[in-house]
Amino acid sequence: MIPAIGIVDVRVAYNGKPVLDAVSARVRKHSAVAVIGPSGTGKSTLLRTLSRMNDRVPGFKVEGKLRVGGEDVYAKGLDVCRLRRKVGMIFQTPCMFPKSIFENVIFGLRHQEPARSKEFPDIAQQVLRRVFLWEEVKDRLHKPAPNLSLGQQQRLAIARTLAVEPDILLLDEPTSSLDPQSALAIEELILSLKKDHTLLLVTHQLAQARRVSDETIFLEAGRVIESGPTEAVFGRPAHAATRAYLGRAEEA
Amino acid sequence: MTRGFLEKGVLAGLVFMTGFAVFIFALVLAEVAVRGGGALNAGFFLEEARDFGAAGGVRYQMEGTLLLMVGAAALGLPLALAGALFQTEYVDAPGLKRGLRLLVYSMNGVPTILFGLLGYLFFGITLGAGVSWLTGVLILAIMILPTIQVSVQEAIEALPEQYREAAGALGLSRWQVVRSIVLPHCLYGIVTGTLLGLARAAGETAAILFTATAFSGARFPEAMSDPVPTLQTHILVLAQEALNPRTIENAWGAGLVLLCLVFSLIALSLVFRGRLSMEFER
Ligand SMILES: Nc1ncnc2c1ncn2[C@@H]1O[C@H](COP(=O)(O)OP(=O)(O)O)[C@@H](O)[C@H]1O
Ligand SMILES: [Mg+2]
Repeated sequence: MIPAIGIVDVRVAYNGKPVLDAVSARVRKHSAVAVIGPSGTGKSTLLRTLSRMNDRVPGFKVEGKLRVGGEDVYAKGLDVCRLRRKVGMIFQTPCMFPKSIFENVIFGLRHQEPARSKEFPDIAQQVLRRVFLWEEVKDRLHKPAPNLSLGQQQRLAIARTLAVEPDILLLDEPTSSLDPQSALAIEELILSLKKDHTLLLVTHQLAQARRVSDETIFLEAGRVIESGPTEAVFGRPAHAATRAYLGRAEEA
Repeated sequence: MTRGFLEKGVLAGLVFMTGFAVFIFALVLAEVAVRGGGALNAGFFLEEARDFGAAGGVRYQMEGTLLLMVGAAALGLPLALAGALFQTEYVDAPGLKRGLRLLVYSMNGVPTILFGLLGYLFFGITLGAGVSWLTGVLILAIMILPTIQVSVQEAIEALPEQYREAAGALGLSRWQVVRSIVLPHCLYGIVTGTLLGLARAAGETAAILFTATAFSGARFPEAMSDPVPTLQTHILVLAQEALNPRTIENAWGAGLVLLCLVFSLIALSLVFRGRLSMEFER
């Protein structure tokens, strides 16, 4: 079977400074893979490289092969907008457009499929239900989204991404800027998304990685130190560096 | 010398210089108001100049100045907007970005007489537009372009990158991001820049004096190839050549009208400056 995400010997540098070094990984369809590791190790870079979010970054250079759904991410002439619809990205801090909740939810659709505008209210309701936000916002859909709590904003950001029907979701520390309760709500949501989506999740919260992911990749200084089934990586880490990181993170 | 002492000295110097600037500004305003205030009445705004400026008003001069300003802004704004968007949204190479930026900022400092001269040689002679309203508008448009562009560009650059990323991550093309996020965000920057550009065009004399304006007999231009009378030229000619005290007073009156026009444009631009439309919507 073709993996949903295939990364082969990828090297990334900013202005000649190497950030990812010979990274390889595979993510099976409809599985969740967690990426863990210290700050500044290149976890965000890996995710951003997969959805070509770094194209605008000056001095960014990538080598190796990245594929999503069998398609070369850096192929010449690739439609980047279509790729990004297929590969949704959720950031650490949700960024609401200064518009209503409703307009935020259908923001991507409105630009890509304006002809379907009659269906927008139904689609909005459907995706808001999927992120467990419908009951909280159904009476104020036309109120400004930036007034929502951070946790609600993050769920709205996920709803907005789901509305353009991605196959793959890249989540970059989606709960780090949230309070513990909102973080748990997002975690529940992530678990429920596994059914229909392939997930690549960067997280600092090891307990979260354990609960959510099927496999875990441990990244340090731009290299994959260890990867495999989550239970194995956490239960029987093969490398001293992994043990050291897990130990340090446990204390913190 | 202690650090506190030095700081106090610098602060005192700054206060003095600010006070001095305000003082000079008030002095100019008072002087022009006292000398020209007597000339202002309804007729001054509604009538044509007569008797070499000694009688009548400045109706056609006002219309001419407005015509040049508005024409220049109408032409300069789209160019400046396109330039600003091209530089901020489409140029990715940092070296080219810096080069273009430097170019725009230095264009802002070019002496306006040079714009007049080169503009006249190119538009007036080479393209055959002559001494005309059209030549003036073209020259002024190029002259105020950097003023507008700098203002627009600063507004665009104040937009946090995460808005672009969030929109881009949803699959919007660059142009869609520009239309739905960048342009609404910098709306007030566009307004501010346009007002400052208008003010700059209104105050400009050197570049249009021999390229677009005429003194006696000219009225509202009937064709693009006609010259226009303007307040600036009017003031200059009256002040240089008149002996009659009524004429002198009318020159000051025209000066007062021009000054009020420029100041209200700048004041209005300050109202809009720094206001971000995205936050405004909340
Ligand atoms: N836009 C950029 N330009 C230059 N260097 C960058 C950029 N983004 C990240 N880096 C550098 O790349 C390294 C990895 O960063 P990042 O991928 O954000 O790590 P992580 O997400 O694991 O904390 C860091 O050293 C960081 O300074
Ligand atoms: Mg990161």
